[in-house]
Amino acid sequence: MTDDGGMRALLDGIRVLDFTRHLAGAGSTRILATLGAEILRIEWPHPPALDFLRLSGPHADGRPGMNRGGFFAQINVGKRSVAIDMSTDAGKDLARELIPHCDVIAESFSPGVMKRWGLDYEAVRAIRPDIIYLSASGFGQTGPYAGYRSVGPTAQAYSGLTATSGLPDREPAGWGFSYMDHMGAVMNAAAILMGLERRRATGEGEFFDAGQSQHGCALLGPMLLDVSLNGSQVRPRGNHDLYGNFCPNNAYRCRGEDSWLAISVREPGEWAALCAVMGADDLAGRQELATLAGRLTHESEIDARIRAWALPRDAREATVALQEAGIPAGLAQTVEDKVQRDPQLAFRGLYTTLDDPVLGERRYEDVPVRIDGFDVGVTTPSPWLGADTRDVLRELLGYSEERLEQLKADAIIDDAITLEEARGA
Amino acid sequence: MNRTLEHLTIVELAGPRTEWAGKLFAQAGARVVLVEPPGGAETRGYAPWFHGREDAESSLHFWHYNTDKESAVLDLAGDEGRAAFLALLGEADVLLDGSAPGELAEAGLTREAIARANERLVHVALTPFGQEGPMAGWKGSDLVHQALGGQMMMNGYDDMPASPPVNGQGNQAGHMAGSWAFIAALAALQAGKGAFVDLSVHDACAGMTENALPQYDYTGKVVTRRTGRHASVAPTPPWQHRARDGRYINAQLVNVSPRAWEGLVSWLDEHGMAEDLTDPKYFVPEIFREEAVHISEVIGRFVATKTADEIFHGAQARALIFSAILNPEDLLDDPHLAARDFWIELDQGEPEGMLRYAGSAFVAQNSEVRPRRRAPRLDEHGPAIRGKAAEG
Repeated sequence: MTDDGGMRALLDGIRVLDFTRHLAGAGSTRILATLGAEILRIEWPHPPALDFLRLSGPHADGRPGMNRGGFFAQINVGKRSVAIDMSTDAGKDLARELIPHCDVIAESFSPGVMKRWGLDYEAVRAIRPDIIYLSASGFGQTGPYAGYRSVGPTAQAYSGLTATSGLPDREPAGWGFSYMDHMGAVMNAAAILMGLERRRATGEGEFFDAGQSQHGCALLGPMLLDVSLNGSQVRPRGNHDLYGNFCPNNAYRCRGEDSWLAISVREPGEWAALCAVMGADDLAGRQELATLAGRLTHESEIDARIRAWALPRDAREATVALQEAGIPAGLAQTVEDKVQRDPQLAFRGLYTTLDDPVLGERRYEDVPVRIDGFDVGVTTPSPWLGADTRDVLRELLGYSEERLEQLKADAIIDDAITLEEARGA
Repeated sequence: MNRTLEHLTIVELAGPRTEWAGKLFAQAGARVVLVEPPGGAETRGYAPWFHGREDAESSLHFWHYNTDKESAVLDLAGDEGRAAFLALLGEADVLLDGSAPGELAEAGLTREAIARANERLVHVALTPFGQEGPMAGWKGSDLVHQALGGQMMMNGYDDMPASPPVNGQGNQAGHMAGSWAFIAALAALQAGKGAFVDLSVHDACAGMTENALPQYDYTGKVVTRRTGRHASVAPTPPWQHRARDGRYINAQLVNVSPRAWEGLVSWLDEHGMAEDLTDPKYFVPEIFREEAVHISEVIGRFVATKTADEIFHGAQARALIFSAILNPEDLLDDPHLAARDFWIELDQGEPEGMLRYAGSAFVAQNSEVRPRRRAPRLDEHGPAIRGKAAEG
């Protein structure tokens, strides 16, 4: 508890100067925000400091606008927005003045932009030696592909994550969303936290050169050793476990339109329970199927039996029946299933509703952790572009009203707009 | 060079759910003690195997996830094992605990008993669905978590009727949850006092489906899967094309700048394959969107005449965000990963000798985040660890 009786946040007192954009970058500072860090988004309504997600849909009432993007809002909850025109010398000076007040700098521009602004790691550490600095890019700051551009699907394609997911003998299915934007964000947040933890122990700063594509490669898991030590070629096996560590392990069609049930079995007890739920005494009685190796040699036959059992059944009811018998199973849920019909997500409060003055009441994905005695999670909506400019410059730099007015008149900063303007912007 | 987290000590209860978080700590230099049950960790029994050798010391799954760790067998069902475990916790910063809800308490190791052993300990409990709630007793797997989490319904094929949703391979549910365990543990350490972190793998997966929730929340519409590209409400043009060498290309045309478009069209034109894309009408966003399928087809015809590498590098040189869809083995010779020292050699000991491992993706300047030591053999460090606990 804090002196005033409130709950503490884990990252109380950590301030981040945030030049990130998109999910892979801005998602990392979102994670830090949900853990209690103060995030100062430095942005501007024109490239490169404009986050194009501000303009992407879905939009409130279907009407586009700088403060109306639902996906941007999802990624930028809990942050403050400071609008500075970094193309001007005065803007760059302003950013430099903020550095001593910040523990972390995170950026996700193409390599070279921060250096052009005089804000690369070497320049920043001269101002704040213990700064934790993250440069997040598609392929990293060095190496022959350093200048290459990447978004989630690019990183997935390059890293092998796309090629290894799909049905055999078909083109890759890969990922139907930007998995590596999420995992890029997660890994970037992890890097910053490693830096903060090291600073806590040693007092020293750190620089991380993060490449989204390289993080994708690291997430291939045991496939990496399989190719390097066994000389294997890894090819998709549909929903079967790539290495046969589970069998059965597949998705089976259920009653209704596009309804599917996933089942994974490894332990002998799980297999016996599955046979019992299916009423498959003949399978239960076959000794060779009691072992994983034995089941793998009969994988097609087992799949066919489960397929026939599942087809007339409701996927949700089958899930419950199987789980109650101790079998890992679950229906393939859509977002609507998760939001409307998943009792566990409701119990844990994964979806938090925030009332945004422009966007209205909207659902936000909260964090997957609960921590006794600490405040974690989504708290405040995403900021309008420049909403906190004046407050931040007053609080941290002690700027007077006159000076702020002058900066605005010179178009060095932009500031909080009225609700009416925000709705229209 | 010093290692980023070399000042930390982590105790990891061996299990499939904790091993990625444990590896993230271990490769950053933290001392990670893997507490294995008698008979060894479950994942010592996971394929793939080194050269087909199916034994407890030859699982490449175990080798991959347990680099740099120490191994001690402790029987938590016995007094001696429990005492040694609590002694270990006394000197630890973080406990990574993947046991099912209530499982440790049944063995006499309640949350309170663990907190008493070390009041500054960050106890991270990773369970499939969380400590409490209507599904808390349910079991998960990579497939089951990606099904319930919503990943699967977004991956698959829309040009193949009645085809199933597809699981993203490579233990990704473990990576989503394990990375969050690492993040939560490090964040809790910043608060400077003990904490109990209740992490749900289901929550971690369910919270990572990109634009699906905003789409649903703002439009009431549910995205459906599309071949090799983003699930969406309305159909979208294909962006995977087969190259001359049989490999595929990811040729996304999202947010294409005028410069990138001109680069693409002139590239196609050089080979006489631009067809009508030279028409300036394509600079009009509405026309670009309306003609997206046609544009995709023209690009597909061009890709079919080149190798995947030619398209990848040629497109990137023109500021297009294309990539070749590489197979894992392609990474072994990739010049970019080589230049960034992604691959490393670790000494596996006798009889294997030096073996080529993947390093970490983290590149730090003032300290090092990369594996240095092979995974431990079963109970390799057990005698020393138990001996120290007995002296305790």
